[in-house]
Amino acid sequence: MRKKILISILFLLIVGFYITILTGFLYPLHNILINENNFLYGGETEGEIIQINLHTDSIITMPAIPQFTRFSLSNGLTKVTRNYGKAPIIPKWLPEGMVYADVYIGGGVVITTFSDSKTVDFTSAKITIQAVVYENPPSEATILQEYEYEKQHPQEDIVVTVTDPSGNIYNSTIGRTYPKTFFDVGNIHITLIAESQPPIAYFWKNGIYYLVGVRSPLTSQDLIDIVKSMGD
Amino acid sequence: MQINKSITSLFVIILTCAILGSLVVQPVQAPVIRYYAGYFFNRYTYNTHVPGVYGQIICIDPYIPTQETNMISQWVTIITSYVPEVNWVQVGYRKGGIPYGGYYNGLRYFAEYYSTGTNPYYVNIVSGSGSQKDMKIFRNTTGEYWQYLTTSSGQPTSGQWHNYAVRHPYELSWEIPPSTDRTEFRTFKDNMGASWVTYKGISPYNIIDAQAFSETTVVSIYMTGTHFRELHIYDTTLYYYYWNHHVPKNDWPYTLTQTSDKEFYANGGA
Repeated sequence: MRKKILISILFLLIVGFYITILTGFLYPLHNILINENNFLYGGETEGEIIQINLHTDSIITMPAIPQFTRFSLSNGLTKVTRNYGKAPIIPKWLPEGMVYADVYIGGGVVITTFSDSKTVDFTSAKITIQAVVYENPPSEATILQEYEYEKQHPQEDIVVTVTDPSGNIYNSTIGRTYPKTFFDVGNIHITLIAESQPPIAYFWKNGIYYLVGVRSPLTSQDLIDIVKSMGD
Repeated sequence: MQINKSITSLFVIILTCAILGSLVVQPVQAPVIRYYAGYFFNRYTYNTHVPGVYGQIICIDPYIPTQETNMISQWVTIITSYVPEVNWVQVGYRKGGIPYGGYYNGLRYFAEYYSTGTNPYYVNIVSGSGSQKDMKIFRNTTGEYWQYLTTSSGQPTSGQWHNYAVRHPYELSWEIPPSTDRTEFRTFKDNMGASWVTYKGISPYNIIDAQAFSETTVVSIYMTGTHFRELHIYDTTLYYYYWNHHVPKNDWPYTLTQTSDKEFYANGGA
């Protein structure tokens, strides 16, 4: 009898051990997000207007950055939900130390950011999630079809074709795309470009198109863990 | 012996200082600031798909103070991301310094992309004539360089209207020739029936907004006479429709006259 009890306890201990390891591997306990109120606001005042003027050390022509309105995570998601009836999802897992979170609305997108320190705007945030809400998003079948197409073309030549006024065509292969990798979480299909600087991943979920990026010292593995936790 | 040691130590110190000094005193290029006047389409309010943008721009030929960083450009563009980096495909014309290829104070057509998922990230095709015709300008992880193409694409003419467009053919059922390649973008100038510069390999490729702007790098360039009209968004099944909303932007000292959603003027300088 005693032997049976001991074996049962041992069995439970082993199962418990493995569950702890597995849970810890998927979502380290200290990083599980309880709710959006856990975060600090990185701005000065709710609803402040953010104007960003890009500049470079070269003179390439470049687009303008639209005006964004900045909110705390909780208020921003509430506002987006009020406008669209749905809000972008936030990760269930984040790297340690990401205590600041903001939502920027403007320019056709909703940008959610996470950082370990206050940021002037989203350009220096450690984690950025660009979400585009569509009233008429592509069907699940179309999204899957696009995903399958991408899987068949994980890395391609970059080809520039120039046609002169006489109709002569000039082709030039000028480089390669960074390799894409693919993984499914639940019913979402994630495309990852790990080698680009910064690494990025994109996917559709519930009619919203997401583009997620991380900045150094966060790594492409951090990015994978973040987007995986968005798919559950 | 002791003196020799001291001299050696002194020599080592001086040599170290010289090496460190040469590392510290590197030429630092000042950031080039941008000034804009024009429109964002701003699809956010209406959830609109934006498979491409079209606009007509009159060519102006302002005086450009001779310095490599001085430039004016006027263009239409599509945006595929604002974070973690701004990604775009753009077409229009420019006058002033040509990046990495040396200064050239003439009018040029240009088409360019910036794409995070692509190496090189940045590619710019600039039209021209004579010895500087059709420069391809690349930016990649190892540095910048440029080279010539073997064709000429002409030059914009001051006082003339020119048509520009960026299209994502995968989303346009009427596009000829059709394309199943999601990473392909076509830019057009004047002839809307045949792409001028086509880029394949752009990633990410979902368009999130469109813009039409006049851009300078120094306010002493006057953009008086700037005029954009007939701004259109392409439609996936029909051909295109006029911009039906916009968000304006004009940086000091430039002024913007908003005639309608599809037309504006910009003026001024300092």
